[in-house]
Amino acid sequence: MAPKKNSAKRPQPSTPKPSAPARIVKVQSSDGHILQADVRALLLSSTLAATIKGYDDENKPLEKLEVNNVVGFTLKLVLEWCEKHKEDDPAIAQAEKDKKNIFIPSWDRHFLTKLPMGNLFDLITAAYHLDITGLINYGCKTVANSAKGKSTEEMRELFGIPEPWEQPSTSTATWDD
Amino acid sequence: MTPENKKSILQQHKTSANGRIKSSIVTKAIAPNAPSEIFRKDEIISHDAPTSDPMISKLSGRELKKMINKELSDHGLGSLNMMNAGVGGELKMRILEKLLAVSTNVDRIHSRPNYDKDWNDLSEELKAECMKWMSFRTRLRLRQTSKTEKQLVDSVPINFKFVKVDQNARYCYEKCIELSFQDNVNQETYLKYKDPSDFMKDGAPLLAYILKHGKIDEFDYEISDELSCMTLELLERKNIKFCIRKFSHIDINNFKETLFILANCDETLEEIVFDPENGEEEDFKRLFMLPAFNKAKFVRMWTLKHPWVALATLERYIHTDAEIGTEFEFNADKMTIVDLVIKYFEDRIVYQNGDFLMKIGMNVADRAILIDHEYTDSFSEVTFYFTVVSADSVRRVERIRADSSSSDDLIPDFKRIFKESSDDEIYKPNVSNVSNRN
Repeated sequence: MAPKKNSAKRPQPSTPKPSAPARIVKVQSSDGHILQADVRALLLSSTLAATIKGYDDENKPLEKLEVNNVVGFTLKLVLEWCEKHKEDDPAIAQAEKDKKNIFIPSWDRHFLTKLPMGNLFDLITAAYHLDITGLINYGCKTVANSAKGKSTEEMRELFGIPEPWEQPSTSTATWDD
Repeated sequence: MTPENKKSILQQHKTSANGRIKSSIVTKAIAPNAPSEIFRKDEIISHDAPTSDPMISKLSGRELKKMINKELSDHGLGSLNMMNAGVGGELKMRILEKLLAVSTNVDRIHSRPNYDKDWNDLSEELKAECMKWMSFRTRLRLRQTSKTEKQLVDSVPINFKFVKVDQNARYCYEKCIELSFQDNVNQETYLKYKDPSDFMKDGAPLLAYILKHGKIDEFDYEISDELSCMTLELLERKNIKFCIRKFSHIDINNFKETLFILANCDETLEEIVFDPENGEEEDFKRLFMLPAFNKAKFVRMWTLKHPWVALATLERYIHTDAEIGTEFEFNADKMTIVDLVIKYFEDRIVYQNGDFLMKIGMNVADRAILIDHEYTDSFSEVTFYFTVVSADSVRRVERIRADSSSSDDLIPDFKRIFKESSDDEIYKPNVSNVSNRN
């Protein structure tokens, strides 16, 4: 009989590393919604990290962070992404920024491709305001991937570009991916 | 009611009047570890969207309808049936305004967001960030969508690993002109043109676009005189400055073309590889006047028939205090060059061995020019290397070259031993004295 895949000899998944207790902070969106997030997740945003550091330096209690340029729906998505990536090394995202090509991990691919294009644009705009390099990289790459293989007409429809323009006469107009 | 809410209602009214369908988004958690699944529902107003109001979310469609009808009649606005029956215009507007006014407690996080952006709402920085991950062909199609996108795509340079224009390429069964390139996302494209007129119609404008907007790592230009002339005329008309790191022009030795391209290269140019076999003295003089040529860190010339060019290069390296790693490589008769170097730079020779491996002192004490050579297949010619090295080094740092796989086999073993032996030194004064003498 063939041995079971989950036999006792199989290496067990390693236990998660003991980490410091989560420090939860309230985050308020521009439209007044209050969400909760782990500080480690918020540190992925350079903008929020600077604010948090300012509070810590002055030993002020941090009760609520206000994010004035992101609405609740988008902020929820941003926090969901940050929560998933709170253990990531920020240097990796910085290094990926200069790469020619990056691989989007499956969780992120699933998370980003499920979003309608409008929400994806909202998300990358929020990531840009909050300066979250990893989310900008993956978000923009997802936008670029969605345009791959699309004709000019399809691209105009996908991105909601209203202004029609006369096609140039060169053969480049007919290329396909 | 706030002006924003009013605007939103007007927009909804306008949208439904035009017959366009508004979409709604419903979020639903699947598992703790999985991202939220987003569903798109195509309907004008969704009754299925869960709200934070527990009373409303538990109601069925019919119950909700009853409740809305009650609210409407309480406010003297009729019913939903009236609305469906075509009572439109101002009354419909008032109904919608009233509905929005009474729904202030709805948690918008769980309802349809009205904040959708499209591409046009993105900042130029974000658009450029997205374009960074697009292939060249995708960018060209995006460029054709609107005037704004055309300007934006053109303003963001695209990196090319290589761009090559070649005639009678290896994999062509018939005579043809090939334009090939590898773009920023490593996508390779090979375009073949059977007829020169086809190339001039489609290929040459594309090449001009690539040269105008691309940052090219390696540009290999190998097309015949007549076609090349027409192509360069087109480039000249468009007044294009090239951003090329390495320029190769080996198979077709037309010095004029080399000069034209080098004259239009910016300061990015680091490497130049070309064959000046037919070059006249005047051409070389023009070459030495070009800033891009003088700034290039590596110059490789095949068959150099004017030995004074080698001496002029040495002079230039000395007078410009060339950086360590700067190299001039060329094929020439061994003894002609060696004799000339000894004749004109004798007082600067700081090291020399039995095989004429020499080192020339520069005006700065920390570096020197190493004159090295390798034997080739030819009886009369060797490959010379004039390399700026650190003052205490007597070995040239080998460059990593794609075509160098077999070159080591051509060097006899004794030469390596000879080079590394210090017993063969003929003349080696103290390097620190060199700067004093100059």
